[in-house]
Amino acid sequence: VELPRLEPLWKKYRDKGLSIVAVEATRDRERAVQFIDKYGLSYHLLEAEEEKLVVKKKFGIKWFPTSYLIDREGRIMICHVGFHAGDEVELEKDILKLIGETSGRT
Amino acid sequence: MPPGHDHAADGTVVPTVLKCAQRKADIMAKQRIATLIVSIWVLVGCGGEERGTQNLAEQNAAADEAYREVRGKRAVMDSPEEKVVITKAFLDEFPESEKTAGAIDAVYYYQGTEMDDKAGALAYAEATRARIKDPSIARQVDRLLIGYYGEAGMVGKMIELVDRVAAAGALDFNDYWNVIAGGTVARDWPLVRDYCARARKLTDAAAIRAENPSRELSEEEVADAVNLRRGMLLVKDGWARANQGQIDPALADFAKADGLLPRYYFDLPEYELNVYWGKVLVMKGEYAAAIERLATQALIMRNEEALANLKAAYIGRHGGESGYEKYAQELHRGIARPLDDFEMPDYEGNRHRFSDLRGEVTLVTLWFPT
Repeated sequence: VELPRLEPLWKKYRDKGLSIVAVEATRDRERAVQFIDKYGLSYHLLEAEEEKLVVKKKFGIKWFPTSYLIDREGRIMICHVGFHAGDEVELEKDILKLIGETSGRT
Repeated sequence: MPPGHDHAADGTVVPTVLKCAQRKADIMAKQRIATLIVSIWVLVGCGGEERGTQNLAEQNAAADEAYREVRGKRAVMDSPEEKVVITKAFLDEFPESEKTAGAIDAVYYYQGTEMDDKAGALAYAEATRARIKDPSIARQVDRLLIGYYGEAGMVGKMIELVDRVAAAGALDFNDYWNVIAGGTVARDWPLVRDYCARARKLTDAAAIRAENPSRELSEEEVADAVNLRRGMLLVKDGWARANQGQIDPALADFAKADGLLPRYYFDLPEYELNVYWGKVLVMKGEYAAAIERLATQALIMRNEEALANLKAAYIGRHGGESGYEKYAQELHRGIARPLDDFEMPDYEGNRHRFSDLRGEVTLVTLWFPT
């Protein structure tokens, strides 16, 4: 549910300094590729190389999906667990706020 | 959260029954995540006894296949109304199967949460329960109803049902936990404390083994489950105690729970321990300590209660609201940690390094295809 809803955000803000990276964490390549093609996803789509539990541990997460919103200095500013229809509205606000911040330290 | 959307199911080393309770707790606490997956857990993970009759097995297989189709359709539907319609149609066609409770819970989520019609969703669940004859399936649905009544703060109905279920067989930890969660919603502290004390009896190794008869649990799994259950109960009992004016015993409970609960997300202990802890510290007037407990939950995990209490702590400390926005912004930047660098291939085999994106605002999503 979440990935297709990110596509419009990416198209809207990619020229303003937004990157989106989706990490498929269960190595279910066949279904992942099917899904990606079906929704025409075009941001960074990566495939984890380790077991799901290792990925969870590495990223410090418990549930899928989890999204980290990271500022220009590489800090995790927002951690969003789960995804409901409509969550993208709040996410867009956060993205806008972070895009508006300059990359230099203030 | 829509069915099959979340995926905690893999080998977390905790007995299944416990995971059901744990999921339930997370969900109740978050209030943003629907009860749906819980029931899938209750069904798949904590499901009823093996039943031999081939007829039932066939029925279940047919229901299984039909329900898989329903889930597939729901996954691509936008309107919750449509999802409710096809799920109810499934329940009309297969009124009693291993999927019944899961489907009822799905209706409860889509109708109750997404369509904002909790009353209608509850009435549907009750009516559907009334026509179930199989005791094992009825038990699964009763478990859901206990949770629904609790969530709605309908303590009287909840207890009535719990007593009825208890008369027919022993309650398990999951049932107690549902009652505790319900009592917390209704702020019925004596009830919460009573059921914490009862549930405490199901936190030893023997109880955990007894609840998982189909599988030999390792020592480590049992120890994890013991700690988790004790930690969970300390959080709820501590919060109830604080509300009864026993602030210091509550803080002692939280400190104990801190050593027992597993940690995820920025090393935060589970069950929103830090949210409760911060709230009680605000009650006590220890604002600096409260802010420390609440900051990550409030600003990064964006827990609404934590956020409200962070503000309360600021006001307590500074005697007013003035300057809070700027303070919170600086605090937020101060506590935000970097994401460890990683490198992974895309589907064409090209490798990408996360740190190459430095300077961009980046959204990293961990997902799995449903």
